[in-house]
Order: sequence, then C-alpha cells, then structure tokens
Amino acid sequence: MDRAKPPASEIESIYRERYRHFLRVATAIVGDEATGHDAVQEAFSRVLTQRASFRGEGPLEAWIWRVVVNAARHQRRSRAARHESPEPATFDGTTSLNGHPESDSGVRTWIAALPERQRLAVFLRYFADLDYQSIATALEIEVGTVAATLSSARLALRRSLEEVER
Amino acid sequence: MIDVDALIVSELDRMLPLPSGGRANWQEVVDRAGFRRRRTKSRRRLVSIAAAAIVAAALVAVTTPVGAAVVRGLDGFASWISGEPGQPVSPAEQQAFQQENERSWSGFAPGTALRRLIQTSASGTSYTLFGFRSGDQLCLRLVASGAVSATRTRCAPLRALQTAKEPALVIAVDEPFESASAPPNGADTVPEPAASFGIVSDGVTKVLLHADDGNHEALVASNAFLYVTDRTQVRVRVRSIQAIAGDGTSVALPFQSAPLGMIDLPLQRKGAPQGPAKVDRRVSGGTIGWLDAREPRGEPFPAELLRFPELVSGSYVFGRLIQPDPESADRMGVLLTDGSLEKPNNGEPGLCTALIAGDDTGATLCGHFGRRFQSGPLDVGMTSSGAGQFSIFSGLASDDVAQIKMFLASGATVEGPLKDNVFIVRVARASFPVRLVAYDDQQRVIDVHTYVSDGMTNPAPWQARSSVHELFRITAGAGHALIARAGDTVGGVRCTSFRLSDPVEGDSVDGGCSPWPLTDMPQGNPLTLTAAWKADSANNVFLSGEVPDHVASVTVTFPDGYVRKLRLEQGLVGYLVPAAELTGSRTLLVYRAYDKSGAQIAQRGERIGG
Repeated sequence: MDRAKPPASEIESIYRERYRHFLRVATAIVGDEATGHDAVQEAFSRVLTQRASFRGEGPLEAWIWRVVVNAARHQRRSRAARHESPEPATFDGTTSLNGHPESDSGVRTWIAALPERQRLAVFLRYFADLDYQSIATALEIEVGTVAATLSSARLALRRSLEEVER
Repeated sequence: MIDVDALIVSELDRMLPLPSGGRANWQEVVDRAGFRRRRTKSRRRLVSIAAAAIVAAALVAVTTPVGAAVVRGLDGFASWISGEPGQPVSPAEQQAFQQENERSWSGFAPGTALRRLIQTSASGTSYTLFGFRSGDQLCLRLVASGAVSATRTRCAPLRALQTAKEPALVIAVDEPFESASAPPNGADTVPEPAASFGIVSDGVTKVLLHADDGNHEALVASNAFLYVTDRTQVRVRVRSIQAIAGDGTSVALPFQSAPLGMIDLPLQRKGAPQGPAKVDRRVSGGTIGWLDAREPRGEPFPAELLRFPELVSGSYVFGRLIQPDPESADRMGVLLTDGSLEKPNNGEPGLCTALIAGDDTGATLCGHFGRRFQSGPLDVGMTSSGAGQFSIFSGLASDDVAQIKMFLASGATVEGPLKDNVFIVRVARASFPVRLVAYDDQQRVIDVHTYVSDGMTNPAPWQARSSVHELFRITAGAGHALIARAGDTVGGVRCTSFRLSDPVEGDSVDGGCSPWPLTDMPQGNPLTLTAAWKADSANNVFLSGEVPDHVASVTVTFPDGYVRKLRLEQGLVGYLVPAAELTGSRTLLVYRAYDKSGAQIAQRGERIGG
C-alpha cells in the first residue's frame, strides 16, 4: 500500500549528477555517443512516467540504471534490426569509440567476447562504479551472481593476458 | 601477477573516457515524458474510439467554422509542461514568493519559479496573473492591488492538461474579489469584481466568455487567459466559454459556473457514473496501524496550527502531516485527540483530519477514531469551491486498502495517490458524476463511493429554484436578522434557505433543495434538524430548522419552565432566544412538536450556548 513514488526532483538530481556515467555506459552498449544519449533521454523519460512502479526495493539510482541499460539494449537491437549498424558496434575488436588507436592489451577483445550479461556487469562496475548490490538490481540478478559474473570475467581476462605474456 | 582491475580501468578509460556532460538536457527528458504519457494513455482506446472520433469531428465541423483546426496538442502547452510560461518575475518578487512558500505549511516545491503572465486593471485595481508549475501541479495566482487587495491561487493537476481534449483548461470562473467594504457572501446582493482565468495552448488566439450580462473577450497572452470584470449588476455569472484559434475555429471549454448563494446553483451535469458499483468483499471496522502505534509517519504536525480550535476537537494527543503525492503540495493533517468533545463522549480517542491544500483550500473533519471505518474502509470528504474548477477528494483509508481509483464520467480513471493511509485526489468539476473505488491487495473492490454532484450543482428544476421567496424574518439587535425563504415544490423538490444577516461580520447562508414533503427524518425525530445560530453581539440566539408537513406547531421550553411557540411557516421554523434566557453556560432547551389535533408527536432536548 505504501508505494513511495519518487519525486521528479530526485530523479532530476540523479540525472544531473550522473548523466556522464549513464551516457558512458549507454554509449558502450549501443556503440556511439549520439545513440547513447538518445537511450539515456528515453530511459529517463520512462523513469519519469513510470516512477510509480518503483517499489523501493533498492536504491532509486539502481532502478534507473536498470531502465537505462534496458533502453540502450533496446536501441542496439532496433538498430541491428534496421541494419543501421552491426551489433555490437562497441568493443568489437575493430572500432574505437573515441578515435584513439586500438588497444593492444586484449581488453577490447576480451570484452567483446564476453557473454552479454558479463559485459553489462563489467560496464556497470568499471564505467559507472556501481557496487554489487546496485549492479544486481540494475541487471535483475542476484548479488552472488554479480560477484560470480565479474570474477569469471576477470579470470577470463587474466588467462588471456597471461597467455599473451607467455 | 597482473592487477586485472587496474588494467581494466585504465584500458576502459582509454577506450571510452568519461564523456562531457554537454549533451545533458533535462528539459528534453521532461518533454519526452509528456508525450509519452499522452501516447500511453491514448493507445489502449485508440481502436474503440476511432468511430466515435469521426462522428465527433463531424459534429464539430458543423458547429464551428473550420472544425478540425482547433486540435490541441500537448506541444501547444510546452511552456507549461516545462514550467516556463510567460516571463520570469523580478528577483524581489521571486524571493517574496519563496519566502511565502517557506512559511506555509502547504508550501509548493522549493525552487518553484513564479512566472508573470498577464497584467490588466479595472476600476482602480491592478490585476496581475502569475503562473507556476510545482511538481505535478499547475497553478495560477491572481494578485489584485489597489482599490481591491487580494490574492487567489488555484491549481490543477498536470494530468488535467495531459488528458484534456480541448486546447485550453479553465482554472477558475467568477473568482470573487470583494472590496473591503462589501459584506461576504454578498454576490447576490452587492455587485463585486470577479475574475475568470485559465491555461491556453499556443494555437488559441481568443477566449470568449458568455455571461448573463453579455459576451466578453478575455485577455490572451503567455499561454493563459484572464477576464476581469468590475460588474455593476448582481446575480451575473459566466455560463459558457469558447477558445478560438487564429482561423476562427472555436471549441467550447468544459467548466462549471460559479453558484449564486446556496440555491441558484448550476444544474447538475448529466451522465452515468462509471466503474464498479458493487463491492466484491465487504470490509468494516478497519484501523490504521501506524496511528494506533503512534508511529511518526510523514512530517510533524505544525504546532502553530494547533491554536485553531476548528482543527482539533478536544485535547491534542498526537498528530502528523502526510503528503500522499510528493508531486503535489496537498497535505493532510491527521490528529489524535482525547475525544472529549466527541458525542457521545464515551472515552474513545478522537480523530481529526485536516486537508491543507496548496491553493488555500481546507476542510476539517473530526469524530471517533474507532468509528471512522465502521461502514467501510474509506473515509472520504469532498471539497469544492464555487470558482475553482477542481474538487478535492481526501480522506483516510484503513489498512485493508491497497489501491484507490477514481472513475470519471468520461470513462477515464485516475489513480489516487495513497500513502500512510491518506489519499488526496483532485478531479475536474466538469468530470462528474464520479466514483471513488477502493481495492484490496487482491484487486477486489472493497468500497465504492459515488458522487453525482460536486456539491455545487443543483438537481432541482428551474421553477423550484426561481420561485424562492421570503417567508418570514426575525430581527435581533443592531440590524441582525434571520430570514427564512422557500420556493414552490416542483417534481417533489423544494428549495429553502436561512440567511443570517449580520451587518458586522457578513451574512451566512444555509440552505439547498431537497425532497419535500419530508418523509425520511433522521432517527425518525421531526425535530432533529433544528439548529442554533448566534444572533448578535448581545448573545441572543436564533433557532431555525425544517420540520415535516404534518407538524402543526413547535414549542421550546426553557429551564425555568417558560414555554414559547416558535414561528412555523411551510415547514420552516424560526425563533429568537433572548440572551437572558440562556442562564447557564450550556442551557438545556426542550423542543416539542404537535400535530393539527394538538397532540404531541415529538420531543427533543438540545444544549445551546457555552
């Protein structure tokens, strides 16, 4: 009964404080900053109109992250369906998001090779600096799964790097 | 050993650095949200209303020059959606507004920006219309200064703009601006300045008001309209309003005319109440757990408000201020008392609720805590004002209630914000009849309240209302008088009123139209309706009331055994009790009713004074 619809001012505050991080993660998912921005804007407009459905089961920001991630994934799938861009454009081992020369550390390849859920967990952990609980809320998975997912991702990277070193 | 975390961070930073915030645009988010709400709401009904829309469009085309040109779009209200209609006010005006907000218990959201919309003057008074958006409330504030000095603030929910089919939203009609010398409630006896105002979309160039004294054109600017009149006639009201686009296309705007007194009210709107009419599960005797446990929900109740005796019946025990919708300034005070002033006084705690709305609207209701949910899990009050175009439904829901929905006559539904057992819903008076429905957590209907009227309309036929005339007048000292009026019985309905004429504090009027002859008396006692009014400064007291047709005479017996016959005409009773007869602090008066044969048919005691 006691559903606390978060006020728009609180959502606006999160938007203003964390917009750059939202944009970074969305860009990482969709492949370019313009589409990433569109995904963030679309996500926040959904958050505004659907905030009554926020159940207060975790931090508001984590719930917003979930909406942003879903909006970005939706954008990426839509673009793929329209054949506007290969999926995923980011971290596919051939392109560089910021125009810098491609990394030779293997990290990009590693990320591109990760299953989607692990890749998203990496983005949220390292691009947005979210804690495990918030990542769990954002990806709608258990906290233990987040830990296992990130651990598994790190292990994969470590192995690939050690192979390179040998 | 490779530090994987550090490597990932540095590599990711290199590949995708934290972007600049240059693209951030909150306003764009808000605009998208506005369009989204409209899309979401209309999508479900698109197919079913398509045929009706074609018919409606055809009808509009017949009744207006161009028909489809006045098609509203939410984009036409963009300035209001963004909270930036008109021009910003001066820093001093903004600061004064903010300070007033901070002082108020029902203040609007901090940082709310006041905007200047329209300025005009009439008969030595300057009128400035301001506007602002606070959360999901759109408000207009009309400030009069000069010969008349007053401020009126009226708010509408943002939802009203998003769901309106018309290109304008009427916020207030015939808002009175009495001069200091005019008596209150004098609209039907003394001409008074009045203002009508509202919100318009970009395409609207003219707003025409059709009143009893002719047609008038409102000022239209800054996505608002304002019509101020310094009327010279009495009993004049705006009856219809049209919004007109640049190409001449016109659309009638829905609103309710302001009443004149208690009888000359607009006719009730026709329509069938929507939504479930029956409960799926009967619930009674509920409670509010947090109130039982005195949990400090919401905010503390402002101590300054406790000095208003009408707010707290009995001694204050515990109170909180609850804001069910964080996007609305509307709040409700929930107060527990010792119940000492409740009748019957059997030691039960009392419970008072006080609606404290952002636009100065208020209402208080007190009673026994334990009986609030005796007949159902919703305890509802409705507040309407004559000029404002939105009624406020507010009250308490017992712990059994999980959701509240308001069904409008149009078929639209409004979900009532519900927090800490308090709900407050604003509904356009033009959307009646309405139905308020409570659901439990299994989505079963557990309470239904149907309202055919906003309380400001009149179901009585015109002849019943227009035939009202004075029956008798009882005078007291210094020009005070009790005036009884009644009209013809038409269709089983008769209109009556009692006016307490007070040249010092202003008139008070009580009355309305109800079935006549009276058949259904409360508790079967024909004397239950008798009431007492303080008549004058000498502490004389008026008695007044309505009795059934079969009552031929009524007497009052004083404590010393003195018996007097009351004035009785056509079922209306009046009498002036001299202050000298009111010996104690609460004098017991005994009323007796007799039939035509002289037989006593009823008796009732009442303590007055003190």
